[in-house]
Amino acid sequence: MTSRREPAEQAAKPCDGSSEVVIEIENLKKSFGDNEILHGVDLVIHKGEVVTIIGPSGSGKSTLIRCINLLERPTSGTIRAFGMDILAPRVRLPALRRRVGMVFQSFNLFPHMTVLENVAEGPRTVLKMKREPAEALAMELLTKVGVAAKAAQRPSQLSGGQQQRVAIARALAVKPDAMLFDEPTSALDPELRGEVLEVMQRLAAEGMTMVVVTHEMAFARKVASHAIFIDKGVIVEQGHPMQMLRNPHSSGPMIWARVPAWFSGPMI
Amino acid sequence: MNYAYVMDFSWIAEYYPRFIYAALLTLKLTLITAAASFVIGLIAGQMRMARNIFIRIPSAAYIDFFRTTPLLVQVVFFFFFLPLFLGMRADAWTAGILALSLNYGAFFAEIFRAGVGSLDRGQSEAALAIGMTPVQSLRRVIYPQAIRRMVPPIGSMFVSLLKDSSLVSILGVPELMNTAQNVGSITFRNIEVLFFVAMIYFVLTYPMVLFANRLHKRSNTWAH
Repeated sequence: MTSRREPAEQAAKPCDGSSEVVIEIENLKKSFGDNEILHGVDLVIHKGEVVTIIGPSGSGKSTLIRCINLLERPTSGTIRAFGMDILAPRVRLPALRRRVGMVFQSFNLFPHMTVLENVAEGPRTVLKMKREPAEALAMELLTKVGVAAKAAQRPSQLSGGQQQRVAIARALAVKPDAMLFDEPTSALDPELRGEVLEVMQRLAAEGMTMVVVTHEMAFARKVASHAIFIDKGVIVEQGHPMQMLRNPHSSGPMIWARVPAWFSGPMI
Repeated sequence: MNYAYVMDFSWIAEYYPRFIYAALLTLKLTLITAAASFVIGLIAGQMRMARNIFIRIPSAAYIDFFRTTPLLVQVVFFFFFLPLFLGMRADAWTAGILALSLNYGAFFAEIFRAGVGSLDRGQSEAALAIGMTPVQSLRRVIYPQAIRRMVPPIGSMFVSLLKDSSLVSILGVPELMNTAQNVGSITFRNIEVLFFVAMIYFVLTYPMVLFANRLHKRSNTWAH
């Protein structure tokens, strides 16, 4: 605990650095009015990596990943995704967002469509597929996330865990290259979290690049290749999740004191 | 009681064709105005929500002006405005449709804005997140839900539009109210004529009320 690495050094070598960089964030700042939420975040995400972002409520975790698909526009800094500067003027946001899927805490399924239509909507409207192949693809994805039996129902007739799995299928349906998860299990009852985490774990095993804001420490330890600890809008710690939890570099008592509570999450 | 008024409906036999024509004219006026004001409302409501102030402010000014001045004043105003400022022939029918459409369009804009505003922000975010353009997200996700939420207020607006079409009578458009006044002044049976016309209005509007109620119930099936 005596040797404290410089933050800059940590940011420069987030992982082995051998594989292709998918998302590269530099000195990202975001303010809402006078209130600066992110005070200069640097983050590199490689292909196939599963990055978990952890930290207390209000620390800026959600804001950070919402900046990656530009649901929030950063105040300053740069974000490169798939080799292009996404903050440049005239970037086609729909094309970017198609490549970066997102799963929300509150599912946000479309209530006026059936489960099948929810998943087929992206392929039909965004990928311009015909109805038949779009619905075949949707059915395939619903089978993959284990809710094929509910295809004809409305989202409101499903449990929270089922709804979130449909939301994952909907995001996958436009064939994204990376996926963002914004606290995907926080709105779920504890007994429903496992089924969602299991789908996410399988997705990770298939090599999907994932950025996951979560409080599920079990998931972070078991699935993540990289963990980021954010507090008050800055990355205070990052590295391999196991290492980080066992042996934090910045040994602020404030940070460490919060960790045990997260271990109470369900094991997957 | 030293005086008793005796109702007399015998004039109906002679004048009923005029009322059939008038009822059809009232319906036509209502249908044209309903369609026009709905479209105006969608456009003005969408503009009212724009971030760009050069789009938002004019639409807000239009909506507020038409909502805060009497419809009767607007009807008469347009009758004089069209020939004097636009060089059109004074035309009661056009002026009436224009005033009613613009007035109801302003109300529809507010209903529409409330319908969109009541939707969770997550809906448009989810649509954008799968790669939809803003227009696609409105068309596929926001409008279908917003319009369903607008059904009850729209239904009652269409009913009140049919009733307010009677204001155009003042310009001489021979719709129900105007016909009632004419026939009343010919036959001196004003009470009976007005009662008769009120019944026609009721027969026209009541099915609309029932239909709106049914739509309202059906639109609630997926709501949570």
